[in-house]
Amino acid sequence: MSPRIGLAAGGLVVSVVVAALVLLLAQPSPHLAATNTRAYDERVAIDLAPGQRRCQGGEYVPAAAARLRLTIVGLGTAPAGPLAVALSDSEGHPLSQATTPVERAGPLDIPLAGGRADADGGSLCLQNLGRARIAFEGNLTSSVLEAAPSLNGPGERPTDEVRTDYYLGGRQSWFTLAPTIASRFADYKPSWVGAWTLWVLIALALALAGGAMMVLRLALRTP
Amino acid sequence: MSPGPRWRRVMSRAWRRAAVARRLPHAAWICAALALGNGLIWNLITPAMQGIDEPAHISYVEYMAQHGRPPDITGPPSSGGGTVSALASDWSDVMASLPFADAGPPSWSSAQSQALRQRLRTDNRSERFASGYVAAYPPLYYGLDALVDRAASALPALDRLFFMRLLGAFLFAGTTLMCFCFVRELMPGSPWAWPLAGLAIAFQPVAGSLAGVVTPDNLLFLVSAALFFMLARAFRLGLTLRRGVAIGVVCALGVLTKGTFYGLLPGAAMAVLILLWRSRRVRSRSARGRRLLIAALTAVVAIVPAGIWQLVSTVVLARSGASTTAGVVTSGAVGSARGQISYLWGTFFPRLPGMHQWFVNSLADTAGRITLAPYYPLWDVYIQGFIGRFGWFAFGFPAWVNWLGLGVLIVITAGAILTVARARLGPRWAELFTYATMLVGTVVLVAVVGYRFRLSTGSGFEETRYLFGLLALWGALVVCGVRAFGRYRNVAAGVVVGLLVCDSIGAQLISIAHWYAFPL
Repeated sequence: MSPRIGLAAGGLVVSVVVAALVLLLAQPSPHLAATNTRAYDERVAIDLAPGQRRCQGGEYVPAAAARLRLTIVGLGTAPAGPLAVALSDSEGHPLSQATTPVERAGPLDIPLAGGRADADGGSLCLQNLGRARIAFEGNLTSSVLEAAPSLNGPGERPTDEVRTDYYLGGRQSWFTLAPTIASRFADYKPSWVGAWTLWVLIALALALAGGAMMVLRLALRTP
Repeated sequence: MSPGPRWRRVMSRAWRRAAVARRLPHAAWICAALALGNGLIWNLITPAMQGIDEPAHISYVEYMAQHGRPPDITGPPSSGGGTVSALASDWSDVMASLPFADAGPPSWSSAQSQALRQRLRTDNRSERFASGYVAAYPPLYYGLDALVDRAASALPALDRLFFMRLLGAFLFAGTTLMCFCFVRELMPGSPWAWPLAGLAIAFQPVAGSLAGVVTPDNLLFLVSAALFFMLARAFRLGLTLRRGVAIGVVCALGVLTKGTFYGLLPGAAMAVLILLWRSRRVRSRSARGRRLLIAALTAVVAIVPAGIWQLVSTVVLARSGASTTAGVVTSGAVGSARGQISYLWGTFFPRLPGMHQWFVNSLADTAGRITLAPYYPLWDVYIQGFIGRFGWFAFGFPAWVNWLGLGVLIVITAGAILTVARARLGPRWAELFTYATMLVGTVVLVAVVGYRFRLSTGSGFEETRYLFGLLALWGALVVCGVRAFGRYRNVAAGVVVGLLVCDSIGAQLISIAHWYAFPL
């Protein structure tokens, strides 16, 4: 059988997968602007008793964040009351204040006002204004039991915090999000790494794929 | 002054060796370069400390770079990757600034990143280290990386980390080359097979991800692949004194790298004995003497360096004499033979009635209730882990990709079995038996340590990378699987290479998504 058929088969597999990938990546969906989570799925809930107020620091709230999501994993037996949410920056200036009803377990989205700068080291205060306990998903405990103990970032208490997910406004495809990903990629890397590095690596990965096809061609041409 | 005869002899030998290296097909070097490229990609994709056990390995390397000796095993206590306070001040800063968690993303704050980079330019490197559970590991890999660390000592921590990790990429390239050469010796009449084996290694995504971080596994994989290559060469060309010594040297290097290498030793010893037995047809006294010399020298070269290391470690450096694999001291819980057998069985086969259920995860729900979730190591750890689980074994492909990968693995394995069954192996059955012994030896070793670890800690132990000393066999498996397709071999080869490339690139993309977008 001709080596070209082998090459064509390999090229077909890669092309089909790439095409499917492009379609998948083009689908718009909500994306995070920041999160304090260190776990896929929290196994320990953070309880807020009726009337209790709880604050946590070290919140990184990007300027692009349009909503804050808290995840309620449990409610007491009495009807849950409203929840007061106050988000402020490191100097105490309010970023967002809202009193939101709590009707059921699940995601709870609080809109954030625009026209602000990135806020590092901010604080989030929650107060349960109702008569029922509210349990929030935490941010630390990993479902991977073999994992090392997780640590919060600077300025945060070394304990489980209420998980906070900050979402970008609207929905973006992965292609639209790519420059943001490239910018994040450059953080906490060697000093010479920039956003450009991600594009170079993607090009390198594609070049390696081409190299694999070249090696395949060399292999199939030998008897 | 002109070079003397001795110098000319040395140069002539070097030239001949270079000529031998040059005789390797271009495809071998290209496969190695592809592996190097993948290692470089993973180096930069993976955030600092997100390689499995990386903080502890970095601490060991830095200790060796600064002190010229392995760290004390009885040093400051640490857990997991080593506590923040037990690391040098610049690494402490990195860990505090970059939230260290196996499942979560790094911080996405550019301001925090810039502030850390500024601090790292002026941070002093303190001399207090602790390597936690890896302190008892042999020092060979760490010594090599310590040389890199010293050469880059003027650079800030994150820049040094890049170069420390780069060693892994070169080791991965070497591993790929050795696997190429192994299949070349195994199937000398099938030159189409050699590059296929090289590609199977170069695009193995989990091996590639390990090549991008600081871990002694990279050297372990290289040395293990080299052992397979040398044994295959000896089986093809005969066991000479030089080949015996080379096998002994590789065994010594393996033992000085990581304890997992011990799993390969029974098979290697058996191979040497088989080869010596085969050469008994030459009955002269000098031939007998030569066989004894080869056996003795091979054993001495393999055993003495490891023995010297143990002596130096316990007597000179006053480190604990207990050996360790993945931080599990062998002087811990031993259990029972029945328990051990049921543990080994349960790793790969469904549990039989009366056997203990060893493999359970304890999961707490939001009310604090504990549920026990049994898992099946062959599927949950080894197969899914081989197709792709990354970071601290924290994330991987969607379930349907794993099922597709399982289907491909079944087809390849079935094809390989068919190829071996059809082949007229004759005397090569002994060689095949050798490799099977090396596989079983590694599996049993991991099961023994895993059983004791489970008894001591109640936690799971198995990880896919513990079997990656057998990567050379993966290359052979792929090639034998493709060969079974007969005249459709080219199509099968093309499909397999396409899938390998997609697996690798897909792994890199999901890792980028995980760490820099964290899709929920």
